[in-house]
Amino acid sequence: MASLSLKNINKVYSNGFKAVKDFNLEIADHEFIIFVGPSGCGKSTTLRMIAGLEDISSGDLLIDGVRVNDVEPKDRDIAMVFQNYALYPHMTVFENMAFGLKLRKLPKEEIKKKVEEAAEILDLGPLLQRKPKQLSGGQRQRVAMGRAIVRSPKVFLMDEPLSNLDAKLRVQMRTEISKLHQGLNATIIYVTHDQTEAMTLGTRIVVMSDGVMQQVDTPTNLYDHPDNLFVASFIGSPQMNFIVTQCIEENNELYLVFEGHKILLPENKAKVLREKGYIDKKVMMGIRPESLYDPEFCLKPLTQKIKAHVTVYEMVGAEAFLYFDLLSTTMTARVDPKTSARVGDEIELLIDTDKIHVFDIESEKKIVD
Amino acid sequence: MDIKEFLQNISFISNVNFFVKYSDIKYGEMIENNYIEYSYLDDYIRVEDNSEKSKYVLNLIKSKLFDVDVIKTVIFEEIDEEFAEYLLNNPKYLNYEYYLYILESNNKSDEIIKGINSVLYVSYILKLDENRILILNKYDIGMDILDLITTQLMILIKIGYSQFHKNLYNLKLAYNEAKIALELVNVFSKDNIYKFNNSKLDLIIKGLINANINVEKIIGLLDEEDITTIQTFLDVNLNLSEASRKLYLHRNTLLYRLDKINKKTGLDIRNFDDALVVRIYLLLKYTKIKK
Repeated sequence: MASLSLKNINKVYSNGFKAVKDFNLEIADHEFIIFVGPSGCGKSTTLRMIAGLEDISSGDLLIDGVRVNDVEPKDRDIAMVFQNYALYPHMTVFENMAFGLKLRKLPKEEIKKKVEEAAEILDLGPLLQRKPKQLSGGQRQRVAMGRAIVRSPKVFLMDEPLSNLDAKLRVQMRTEISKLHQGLNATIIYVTHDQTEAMTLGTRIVVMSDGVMQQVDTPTNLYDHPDNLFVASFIGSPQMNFIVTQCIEENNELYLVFEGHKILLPENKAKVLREKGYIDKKVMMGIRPESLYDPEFCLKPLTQKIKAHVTVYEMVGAEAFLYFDLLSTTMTARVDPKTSARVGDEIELLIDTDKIHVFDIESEKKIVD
Repeated sequence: MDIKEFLQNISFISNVNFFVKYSDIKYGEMIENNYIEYSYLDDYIRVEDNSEKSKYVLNLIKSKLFDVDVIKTVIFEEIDEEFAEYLLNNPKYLNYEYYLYILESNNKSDEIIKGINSVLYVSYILKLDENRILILNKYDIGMDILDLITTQLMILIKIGYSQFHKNLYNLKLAYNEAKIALELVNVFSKDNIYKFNNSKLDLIIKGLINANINVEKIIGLLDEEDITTIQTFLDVNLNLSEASRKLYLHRNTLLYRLDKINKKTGLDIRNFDDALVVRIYLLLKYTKIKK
């Protein structure tokens, strides 16, 4: 298994289009790193540069300390699982998994050993003589993984491997991939546009947008301490709520003011805003849906409120979502399922001010959280 | 020539076991093991082993039945009347269904052909040069080919392919479609594969690429934030609410940005016609043209 080093990696096309900009990342041996971001953010391009399927315009890619920019893909000791994998219909599961090794002219006995070992890890042993059409969707996915595992690569590269599966199967395969990572003790680089998938699978997540790395951190830190507006909005479902507010000071206390509301900030946040010179300035307030409470069910001693006109009510079992409009934006609150709030109601929601995030409107960077 | 009579004679004289499928003719007993085979489209000859005698028989039958590479001739050469009549009188050519693929790599044609032949059934495969291969196949196997070459052979490749065609008369057209699709891979595709579609937009974009339109006079006025805003807004079909959600912006902020773009370029992308102009300029500007 292997460590990777991406130093100042850029991908620029000949017409000037910059797909990846100054990408720097150290990936330790055995890490499960996720690249996540919206379509077109550069995550797949970065993965393909690691694979050798795209040239690196500038910068250095090292695998185990060795520069591999000019090394052919098949000599980089990697294996790939892509979204649109194809299993060969006239071959058995065994032959599908063995195919890559046959191309490399490995001896028959060695091929058999590797395939059987991979089959054991993936629980495909009883299925080795079946043809792909006799397999379920999840089993086929595992065969696609098996083709990569038999290569015993230093690094596994996976580009949205679950995107073509239905929702239920995706959830099931996620846990299987997670177990696989532990079982193989492998270095895995995984690309997805699905932030839920990223949060559940990765040891560290790289959030990308417009070819730029926005933040790299553990799932918990990304969720609790997003560095900027993009990360704050991208991570978390439902999305964080954002309101443009004016930061004012009255009687030594700091408030965030917006349409008919004046939210008192806790002193630890107020201190930072003062020090950074944000008094009387506009700032973006962010608050996650679960930090808004139906007063009837709130056990915390919260005092600050926002008024809401409920436009949509969704009961999903363990919780309910209330959608309401504020300043022409639709916002979401995640509340107790026993809430009596319904569509058309004018309600008040308590806001946990300890959980408020404040962002600079111009730079979109975090001021305090 | 009476084909069956010809094959009977060969069989009698040579005493070699062979099986021939040619159009709707099947001659001989099927050979399942230890054979060598020549195939062309859906037809093939199998002989029982690779002895000199068997190979001689195979070549003899091949030269009589498959004396011309029809595909290559139709696409790349001028067809004379005699050849056209030959095609017209041969129902297997008239009724032949296929997609036409062109694969482009960096000097890896031989390796790719070997890989494809080991694992995929394709009707016809032709090496055009060291970088390009032409394939015909009845079914859409574009993604299968891409996956095989990318993740198993680990070779960088681009694939452009034609629409579905139902007779070999359209071969030249199919070939041109595949060529256009190959050029448009960089414009429309994230995966390095693109299928020609009948929308005139493909032809328009190709024409505009060739015409080397100066896109800088509009696009050069925009910064990265503008580009992201425009692309997102166009992707959601000019829906303001959806765009502001995708951009993680307040609706008013998005409107402010669109006004800013309007002031810079004179184009209001909330208006369909202006949006179309900008869309085309962006497609031309952000084609991932590889060196």
